[in-house]
Amino acid sequence: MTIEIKPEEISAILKQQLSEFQSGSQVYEVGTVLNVGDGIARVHGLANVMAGELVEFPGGLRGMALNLEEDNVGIAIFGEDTAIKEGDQVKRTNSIASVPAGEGLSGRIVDALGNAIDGGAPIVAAEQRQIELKAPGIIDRKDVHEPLQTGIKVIDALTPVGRGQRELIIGDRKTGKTSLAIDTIINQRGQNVQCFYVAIGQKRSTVVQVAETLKKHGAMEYTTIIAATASDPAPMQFLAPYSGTAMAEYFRDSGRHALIVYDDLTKQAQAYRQLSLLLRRPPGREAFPGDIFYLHSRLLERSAKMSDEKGAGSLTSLPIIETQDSDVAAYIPTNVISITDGQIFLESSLFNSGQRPAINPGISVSRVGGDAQISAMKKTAGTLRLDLARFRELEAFSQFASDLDEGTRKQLERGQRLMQVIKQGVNQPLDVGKQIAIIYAGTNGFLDDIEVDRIPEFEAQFHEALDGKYSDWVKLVNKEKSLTDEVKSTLEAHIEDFKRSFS
Amino acid sequence: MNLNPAARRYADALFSLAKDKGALEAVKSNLQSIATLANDSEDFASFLGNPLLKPETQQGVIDAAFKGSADDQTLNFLHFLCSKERLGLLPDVCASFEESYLEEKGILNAFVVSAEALSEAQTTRMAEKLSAKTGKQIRIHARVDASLIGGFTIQVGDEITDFSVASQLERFKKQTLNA
Repeated sequence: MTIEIKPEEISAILKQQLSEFQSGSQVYEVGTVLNVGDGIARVHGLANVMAGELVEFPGGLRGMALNLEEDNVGIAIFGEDTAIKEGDQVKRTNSIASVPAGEGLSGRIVDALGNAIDGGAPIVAAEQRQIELKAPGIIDRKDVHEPLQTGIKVIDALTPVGRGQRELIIGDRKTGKTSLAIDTIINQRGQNVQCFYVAIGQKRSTVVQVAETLKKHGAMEYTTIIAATASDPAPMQFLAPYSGTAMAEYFRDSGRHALIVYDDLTKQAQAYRQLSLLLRRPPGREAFPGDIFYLHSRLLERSAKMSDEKGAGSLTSLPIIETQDSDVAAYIPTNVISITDGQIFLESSLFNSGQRPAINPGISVSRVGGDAQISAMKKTAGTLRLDLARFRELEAFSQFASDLDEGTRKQLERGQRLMQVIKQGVNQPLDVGKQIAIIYAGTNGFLDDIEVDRIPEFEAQFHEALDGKYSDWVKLVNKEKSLTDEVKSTLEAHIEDFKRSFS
Repeated sequence: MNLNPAARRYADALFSLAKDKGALEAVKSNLQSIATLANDSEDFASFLGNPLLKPETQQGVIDAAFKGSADDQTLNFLHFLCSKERLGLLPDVCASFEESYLEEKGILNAFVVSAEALSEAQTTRMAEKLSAKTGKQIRIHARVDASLIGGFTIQVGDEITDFSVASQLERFKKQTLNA
């Protein structure tokens, strides 16, 4: 279909807009740039500017007033500062930084100010939301009680995440932190959870990769990526998590569920450190400014499970922290560990020995998620935790297997099999029913007579069978949600039956 | 203008002293001419800003230049600056003193930029309107800038009231693009 363009119509539209245009005077307050550099402008004037207010430089470039001092204002510039000169006029906008929010953001990639950077059409927003909002109050909340299935066996079993929880993912570089978060997003397909992935200080190529992975698994349609990459100015990297949260809060406050991943908060802290040092705020430990704890606590406090009166929506967050050489006692990791409701530790030694996801179940915890586990999973996982703990104790003796007594040897063998069971491929999140089936088989000794090396193979084929032959059982457990006698006995029968066909 | 904080302190001290002694007008006109001199004469400006000169030398030059013509308070103050090795602050002190003086007398500076030169009558009427609005005496500093296309802008303090055609066109452009 060709579109006919009639010049008269366009003229008519323009004429109408012109007639509606309110001409007349405009009053605004201004200041003058004293000096500019490193993305910071010092401005004289702007006597009534508010902290955090947006200001406008010539050419429409924006900035945020961060430091209000006796004789000047320190402004962080959202963009290239090369076009700004000494003596330029800076205008107040009388507005606080805000971003578009709404359903129109699904499937889009935006920058920290909510502008589309995926080459698509302009964002159609339901509303503009301020990026810095106060976290919900105490009465507006409810305890976390429903699960957010990550689809990763070891997390859902041992460190379950509930809707409205903040669960930290922490580990060295290249230990699979991002993969865990991406898998969790992929697993939200069909769960009515809107996902937000905030990329802070990452390579642009990594962001593209994440978007491609999500697209490939059909997860991009309910996901928004907020990208402030390594080449973006520090103020953008500092703002991106807040912008993402503002967008996600739209869903939380309208009674829906949202999940947000901050990848990663270490880089945001570094961007904020840069900004603070350039603004000449006094440096503290590791040269971070005094309010670095508040930077993260006020952000993560906005994740919440809302009360029924407030629509029962939720915002779950998965902040990511990168450690150096497994040092969790550094400043930023300890801060974020103390803020969050639990943490998932990833270790390079486990990763390199082929135990993937490289989660250390011994030191990973979830402080509230247990209440959110479905009863069937809770029962199955209870024994898994104990068995794994005993295995770790005995692991050192495993080399002397021949000299050990019967009980210890059995315990070791069970442990080795369970370590195989909690392995999982990347981008292969599992339904909770299937997770229960294989963990149940492992903890109840059904796998003891299968060679350790063949367990992954067994698991894969068993899952296939659960999709086909035994699909009734998966339906049953998803309906019952607890380990009733019927559920147990059918599962045991299925496992025995499957083992006969597996050789 | 962003002035050196120390210059402010010196100017404040001089201002209140001059006021007490009833020499406000004299000191003000002295400082005004010194500021003009520093602005016009490169030699004088570099003399003020030269840290290599000894206070005694500076004081000698000051005496030779201003003794007899300047008010006692001004001369005294210049000597004081010399002894504190702060003569470099003098231009800032003059500016800060001027600010305090204008505030004391209730005078506001209004910077008017217009597309075409304003007539005497227009400026007077503008000053009248502004002083009715602000309740202060208005001193108009007019400038012509053709890039405004038409109309004018008035800046009083940090606040700009914009009546220019250029900014209205800009606003219309924004509105049309966002519609």
